[in-house]
Amino acid sequence: MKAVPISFCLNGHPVSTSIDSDLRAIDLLREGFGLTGVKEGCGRGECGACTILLDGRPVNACLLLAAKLDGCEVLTIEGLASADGTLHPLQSAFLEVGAVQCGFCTPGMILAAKSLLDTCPDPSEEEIAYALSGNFCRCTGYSKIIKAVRLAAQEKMR
Amino acid sequence: MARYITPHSLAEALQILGQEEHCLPLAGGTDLTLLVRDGTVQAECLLDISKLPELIGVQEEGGEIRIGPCTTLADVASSPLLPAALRAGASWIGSPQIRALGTIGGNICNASPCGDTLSPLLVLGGRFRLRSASGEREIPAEAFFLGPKRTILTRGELLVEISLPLTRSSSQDERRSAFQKIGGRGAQTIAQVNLAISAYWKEGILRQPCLAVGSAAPTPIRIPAVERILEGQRLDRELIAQASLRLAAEIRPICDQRASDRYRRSVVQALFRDALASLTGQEAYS
Ligand SMILES: Cc1cc2nc3c(=O)[nH]c(=O)nc-3n(C[C@H](O)[C@H](O)[C@H](O)COP(=O)(O)OP(=O)(O)OC[C@H]3O[C@@H](n4cnc5c(N)ncnc54)[C@H](O)[C@@H]3O)c2cc1C
Ligand code: FES
Ligand code: FES
Repeated sequence: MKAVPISFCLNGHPVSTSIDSDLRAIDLLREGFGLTGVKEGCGRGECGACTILLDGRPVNACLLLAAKLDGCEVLTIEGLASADGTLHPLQSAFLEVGAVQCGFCTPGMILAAKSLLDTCPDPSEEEIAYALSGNFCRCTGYSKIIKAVRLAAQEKMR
Repeated sequence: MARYITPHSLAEALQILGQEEHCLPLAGGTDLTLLVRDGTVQAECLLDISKLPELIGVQEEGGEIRIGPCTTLADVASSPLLPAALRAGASWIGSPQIRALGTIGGNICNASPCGDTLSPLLVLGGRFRLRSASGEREIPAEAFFLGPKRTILTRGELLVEISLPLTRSSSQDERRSAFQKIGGRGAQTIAQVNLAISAYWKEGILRQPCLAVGSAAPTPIRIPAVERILEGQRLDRELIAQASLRLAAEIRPICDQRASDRYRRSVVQALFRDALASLTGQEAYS
C-alpha cells in the first residue's frame, strides 16, 4: 500500500504520485521519474552528489523523505537547460573551463552554485567556496569549479 | 511502515502526538530520516511539523527574542535579530544543504553533546517552551539536556518556542557573544569541541561572563569556575592564561574516535582565546 499522496512541481511540470512514507526523495526522482542526474555518493548527507533545489534551496535528496516534496518546487539538473536545449550559463562555464572530469559531482555542484548565484549574483571566491562546501569532488581539486562559477556569474551579469 | 502525518495546525499536531503511542515529531529530518530508515529508531507514525507557521520565524516581542523551533539553521545563521554566537553556531553546522533542511529545534531535541547551537543557547540565557495537549512549561536551556540524546521532553510534548532575553540595556551597553568550533576540517565536520561565550565588555573588563563548552562532557555545560575568574577583572595575558588552564581542568572530555581527551583539553584553550578575541574585537590573544 502506497500510503502518502503527494503533488509537487518537478522541473517546471506539475506531478502527482503516491509513495511509501519511508521512501527517500533520491529514490523517487531516480527510479520513479528516471532523473538519474541525481547521483548517490555517500547516502548520508556528506558528499552533496544528490543535491537538488527545493524551493530554490540546495538540499541532500538522500536525507530527504519524498513525502516532504509535497507542495514544493523541485529542480534537478535535468530541468536546468531551457526547453530548446540552450545550456544554463553555469553549464556552459563548466564545459568551457573544464571543471568536469568524471562528472559524478557535477549536477550537485551546478545546482548548489545556481542557488548561490540566484541570491548573490557576484560572489567572491570565498563565498563560492562556502556555498560549495557541502559538495565533494574527488577529481578536479576545486579550483576550476570555482573559476567556472566566477565565469558564469560574469556571463549572467552581462 | 510508519504513517506520515502532516498536521495543519500546532493544536492538531499536539492532539495527534497525545493520542498516538509511537509517534515521532519530524522537523528537517537530517538526523531522524537515516535513523528511521535503518531501524535504529522505531516509529508507527511520523508527524511532520516542519511547515507549521506557528513554529517558524524569528521575532522580537515582549522584551525577548522568540525563535520558532522549525526555523532552519540557514535562517538562524542569517537573522540580524540574533546574537553573534548563535548565528555563528548555526552557520558552522554541516553544509549549506544541511542548514537549508535542518532546524534549530531539531538540533536542540537531538541533544547531541556536540550540537553547535547548544553552547550558544546556554550562554545567551536561552529558555525553552515545551507544550503538550494538556499543558505547557518553560525551562532554562541548561535544564533540558540529560545526557547524549536524552532530554526532559516527555511523551506528547513538543518544543514550541526558544526565547532569548534582549540584552541591550539603556546605557548602550550590549552583551556581546562569540562561538568557536574545531573539527576535522572546515565544513561538514562534527565538532570535536565547541565553545560559546557572552559578556558585557567595557574598558578592558568583562562583566557577567557566561562560558559554555560542547562535546566536552555528556551534555553541553557551563563552566562557572572560569566565569568567576573572568568576572570584573582586567582582561590581560595573565588572566587569560589562568582562565585557560582552569578551563582545561574543568572539562570532562570523553575520549572517542574523533579525538582524545588530551587533545580536547589542549584545543579548548585555543578556542577560548579565539572566542575572547572575537568577543572583544581584538586580533588575537596568544
Ligand atoms: C552530514 C551531516 C552533518 C551534520 N553536521 C552537524 C554539525 O556540524 N553540527 C551539528 O550540531 N549538527 C550536525 N548535524 C546534525 C543535524 O543536521 C542537526 O542536529 C539538525 O539541526 C537537526 O535538525 P532537523 O530539523 O533535521 O531534525 P530532525 O532530524 O527532524 O529531528 C531530530 C530529533 O529532534 C526531534 N524534534 C525535532 N523538532 C522537535 C520539536 N520541535 N519538538 C520535539 N522534538 C523535536 C525529532 O523527533 C528527532 O528526534 C549533521 C548532520 C548530517 C547528516
Ligand atoms: S549522496 Fe546525498 S550527500 Fe552524498
Ligand atoms: S569530476 Fe569527478 S568527482 Fe568531481
